[in-house]
Amino acid sequence: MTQPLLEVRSLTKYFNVQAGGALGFGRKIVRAVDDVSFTISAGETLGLVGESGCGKSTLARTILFLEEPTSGEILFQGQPLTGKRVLELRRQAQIVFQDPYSSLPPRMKIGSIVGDPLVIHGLARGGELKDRVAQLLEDVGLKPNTADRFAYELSGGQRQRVGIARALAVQPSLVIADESVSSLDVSVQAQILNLLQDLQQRHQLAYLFVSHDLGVVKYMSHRIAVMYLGKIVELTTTDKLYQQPLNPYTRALLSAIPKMHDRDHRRVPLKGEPPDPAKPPPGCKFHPRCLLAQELCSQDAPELKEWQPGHFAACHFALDDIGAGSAVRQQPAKEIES
Amino acid sequence: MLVYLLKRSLQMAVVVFGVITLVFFILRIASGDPARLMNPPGQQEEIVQLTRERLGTDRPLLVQFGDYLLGLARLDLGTSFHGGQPVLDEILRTLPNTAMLAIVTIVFSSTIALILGIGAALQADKLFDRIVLVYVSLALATPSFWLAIVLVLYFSVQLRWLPAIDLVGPQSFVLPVVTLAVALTPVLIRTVRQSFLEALGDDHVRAARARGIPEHRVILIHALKVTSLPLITLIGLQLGLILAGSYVVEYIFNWPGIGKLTLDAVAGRNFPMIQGGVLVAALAFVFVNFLVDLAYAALDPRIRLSAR
Amino acid sequence: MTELTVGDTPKEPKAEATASGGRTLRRLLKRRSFVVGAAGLVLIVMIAILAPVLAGHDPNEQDLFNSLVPPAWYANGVPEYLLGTDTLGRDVASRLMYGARNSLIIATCAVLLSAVLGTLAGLFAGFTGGWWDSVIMRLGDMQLAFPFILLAIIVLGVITDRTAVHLILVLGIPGWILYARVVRSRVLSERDKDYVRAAKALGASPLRQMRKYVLPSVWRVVLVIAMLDFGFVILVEATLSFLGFGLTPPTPSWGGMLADGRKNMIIAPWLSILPGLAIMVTVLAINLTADGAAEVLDPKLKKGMFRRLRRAAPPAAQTVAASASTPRVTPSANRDTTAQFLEVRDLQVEFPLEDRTVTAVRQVSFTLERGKTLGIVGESGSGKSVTASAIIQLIDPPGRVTRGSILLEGRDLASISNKEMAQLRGKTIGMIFQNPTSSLNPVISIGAQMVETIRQHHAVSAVEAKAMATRALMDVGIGDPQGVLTRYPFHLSGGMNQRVMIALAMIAQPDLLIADEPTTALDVTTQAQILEQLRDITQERQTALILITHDIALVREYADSVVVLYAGHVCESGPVADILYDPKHPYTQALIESVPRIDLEPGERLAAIPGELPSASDTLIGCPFAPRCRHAADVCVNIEPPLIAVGEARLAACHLNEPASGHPGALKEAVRRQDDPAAS
Repeated sequence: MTQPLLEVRSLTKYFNVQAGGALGFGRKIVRAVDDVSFTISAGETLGLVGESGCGKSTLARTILFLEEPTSGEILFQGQPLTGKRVLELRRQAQIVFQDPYSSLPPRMKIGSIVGDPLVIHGLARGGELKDRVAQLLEDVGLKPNTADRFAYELSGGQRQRVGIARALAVQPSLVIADESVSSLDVSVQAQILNLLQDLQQRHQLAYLFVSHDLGVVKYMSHRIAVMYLGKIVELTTTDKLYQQPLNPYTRALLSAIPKMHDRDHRRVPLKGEPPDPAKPPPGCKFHPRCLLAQELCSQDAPELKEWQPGHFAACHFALDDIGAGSAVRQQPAKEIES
Repeated sequence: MLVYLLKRSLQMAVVVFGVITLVFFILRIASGDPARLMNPPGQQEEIVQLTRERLGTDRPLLVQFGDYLLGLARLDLGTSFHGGQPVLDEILRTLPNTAMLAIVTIVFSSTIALILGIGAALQADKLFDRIVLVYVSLALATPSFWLAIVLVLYFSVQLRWLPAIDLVGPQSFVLPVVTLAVALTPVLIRTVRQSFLEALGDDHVRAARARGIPEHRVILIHALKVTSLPLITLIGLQLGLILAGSYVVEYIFNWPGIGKLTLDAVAGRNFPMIQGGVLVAALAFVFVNFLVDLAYAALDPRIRLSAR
Repeated sequence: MTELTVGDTPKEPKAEATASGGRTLRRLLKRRSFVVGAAGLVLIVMIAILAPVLAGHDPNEQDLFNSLVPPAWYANGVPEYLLGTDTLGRDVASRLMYGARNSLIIATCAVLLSAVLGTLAGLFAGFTGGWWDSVIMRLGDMQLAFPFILLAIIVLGVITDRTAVHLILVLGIPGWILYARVVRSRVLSERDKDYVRAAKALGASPLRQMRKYVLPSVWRVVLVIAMLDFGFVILVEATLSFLGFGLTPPTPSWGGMLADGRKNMIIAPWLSILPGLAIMVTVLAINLTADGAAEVLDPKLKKGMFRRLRRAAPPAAQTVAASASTPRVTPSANRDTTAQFLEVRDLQVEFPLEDRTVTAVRQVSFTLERGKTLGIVGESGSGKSVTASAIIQLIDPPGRVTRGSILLEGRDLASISNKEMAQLRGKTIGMIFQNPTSSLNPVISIGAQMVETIRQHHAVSAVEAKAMATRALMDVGIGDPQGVLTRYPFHLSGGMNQRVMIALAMIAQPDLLIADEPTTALDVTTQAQILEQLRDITQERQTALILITHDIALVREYADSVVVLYAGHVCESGPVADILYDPKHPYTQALIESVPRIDLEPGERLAAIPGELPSASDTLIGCPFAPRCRHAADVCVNIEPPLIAVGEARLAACHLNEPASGHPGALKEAVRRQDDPAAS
């Protein structure tokens, strides 16, 4: 088996959060990323999906050392990464941010923005630099004369293309797309998604595709990891995830999405509010809102286990039908029609 | 809460201490010998030495400083170089006058600033707003001492309505307060206007209107409540400006306050008196800012109730 | 989240500063305040520089025979001494000019000194952070905790021979904190920006990050602050001179001249007035220049980005020309109960901006029956939010309805008085907004806000109101109503706040509820909860609901009928299922195809719509979708397609539906032909 491009082992990132307002009392710890492990192979797209506060963006940033990991290992092409090798990492892995309006510096010309990585890594200068920049812009579907314009002159979709061009300048093998289409209008979103797919084909890119939008993630990914409060709760191929989600949270998430062609599908009810990341529930972090929860769940946090070949889930009752859940819940359990 | 108070008290003490130390040493190092200056030029050395002994400036600097600090602990701020009255007495005599001036000015300026600022915000870009903004521009450019002179020229000399100098009664307040107000109000009005404009554009104001809340409530309660918090900090700001302005105003109007006391002391190299004036200024400044911070913390529910 | 440039409420052409110098200069020159101020300033500076040439006399030359001569325009003035003389017979005009020199030089140097010290300190503190940052800031706090002018007076007071250097140091050094604070906060906020993070991700060293990405934003701020500081320093220097702590006489200074003049205030008033005027005019010129430049160079300094959108205006003059152009349905009391519950006809909303007028909504028409749900679907710039705001007459100023009518049970909301409209809000029409937490007053408790709304619409006591509030919260699924009532919005999650908003909106049992993207800012799971709640409560009370969204699947699930908007125009409208399964407008079809839905087949490629959304300021001829439409023909580009009936309760605006171009099935035909060119 070939070595994976990126391997993450037990990665953890904690933040210290100050509580207590003006008094400065009490420090809480937010476990934004809590013991996460996964791999990405060359040329594949791993989707990372979850709602706000699940830690997916923090995870993306930590992998790139934009945040210092608290503990755990990151291996790139088999070699462990440390602070010293970070510059090398930056040639191999890049990121495209969410907000097209704040991810481009307002006072630099587009040509400079896209060319800067080449300058930083000493990959081109002068005339060659210009040519490379023009080529990159064309690759992402922009006219070469865009290089002379400023970010404020471009639309959201165009800016995002610039962001992609910038990320591709160093010819990385891994690109992290951190909610890269979430701020775009629907009609533009599809263009960018198609572009990303084309680029993946052309340049053999691996993607870590972070998004809260399950439809987008399904379209783009080969495999998907679902996150909840800093942990991966399910990890498998796209097909398996949508056909037979094992984790109750995944099931709830999938059923919450409005469906175009399925008006009367039953919802898996999800009660309660998303918990405070600084005060997570004991045991399984999802248990207060889970239909299948039993006493075990409040005491023992489930590990990510391979319940079926190639299909990992972190739940004590992964294979149980939701209908067979405990009768403690007030609302009757509902079947999901897939 | 207690921890916060202690922390702040310590900070304030450090600041005040830092200031008086700084002033103490600057005065003695940068200045000429006060004893010599108090004597006619060409005076004999022995007599100057006698003056030094009387003043206590012949001792080493650190000894003088130590003495001073010990005195402070006993609430003894030393004695004036000119005339030997206890500094503390002089301060207590003049402080109320400055305080009165400050209070009247703050009340007056705040009222005007609120009315004009809110009014301008409500009438944004219309005539009233433009007039107010013109006033703000002109007032910001007006040197306060010049305004004082012009006012005196017109109201005291020409019209003889108001006294030009000294504190003789309530009518004495008018010109000094107006002078200070013209210096204070532009910044206040601008801030009030800006804050209010922003508040009126807030989402929650729109939502309140959508619920049928009448416009007068929207303005006077919803918008004002949100604006009022930052406005409290303006009071601290005002005090700083008044303190600075008081030196000029008291000088021109011969107002028997701390500012004049301090200025005269500087002119006369009267070290203990200068130090006294500085101490009072620093204390007042620091203390009022502290009160403002407290008020802010008490009134803003986001700070007050942060610990969930 | 929707795009920002082409927002539903059109905004200023980006007021961001540009890097191009020529363009900046042009924008500066457009500002009247800048031009006037700069002109004055240039004049004063020229006078100061040319003082040796322009001054008729040496400023220190005494002419005791001509002391206290009044200015030339007085009876006993002389032309030789244009502005008179002082007690020692020195020419006032010359002294003023040399005084200008001194003041300007001192102020410039002092400001430079402060700016350099402060910027360095601020950059260092902002970038390094940690211990150094604390130290620098504490130092600054300590300095600010004391009136600097007193310190200046003391220091200068004890120096016997004061030169310009002394003044520059005393005025310049303490000024550092002003710049340091602003620079530091700007650096901190820029560091958090994505593009700085992006630079880091690209491999840029911290120094490069600072130089290339952060600094360009910083120096502009410093420039603006320096200009404002300049005027301030001139005033302070003049004050010090006046009090006798400025340049030692006989060096001319404006403040010093005023001090002299004061002694002879009564007999020679010009000696006091003229120098003061000089100071005032100079500072005014500086301030005007600074204000004008601030707007151009760094609009962020003026908090509140949309200067021209005068949000202060209450929804008074919402409908202006409406009265002029459209024959109105009879307004006020006569409610026509045979009419549709809500009928919007040919609605047009315009936003007159500084340099152009933007038409956000044009010829929008649709209807809604009592108790039903209408979805309004569109992307950025479609006008969906503006339409919603128009119904409740809360359009962001300066927007106004310029044509058309909004008939609620026969009554035209676009033409009733503001007072009548205010009575309808809350009671008959309710609205909930996109961002629930910011739609609630942050400093008033939930309970107080609810009681206020309840008592606005019902004549009840405070106690009864509280009970009603508790019940209302339970009705929207909040488990601990008493607890929530005591809390503030920042305590609650977005989902909870939205429930509170729904409760507030429904409290007076309105007949119509408008929900403007109520779940866009919420998580998917919360979204489902909120929409279910909304559906339950509106069905229970037979409230008509208008659901504004960009998510077409949402409309499928929760709406009965839908209106699809594009660039302010209606594309089509009708029952939801019909529209989604048999779209009669290429945009609707393209929209459906370009959404990566969960139920897409694997391997199916998204059919992306080429091109960009039109910007709000583009003037469109013909069909707004034509540039991006794969079926576009010449007629589409030249003639705007009218909204015509294409089926049972269905309207569509596309030439493909017109009898001339075929039959109502023309679109489907065209698509079929496109997909399979082989078929005939």
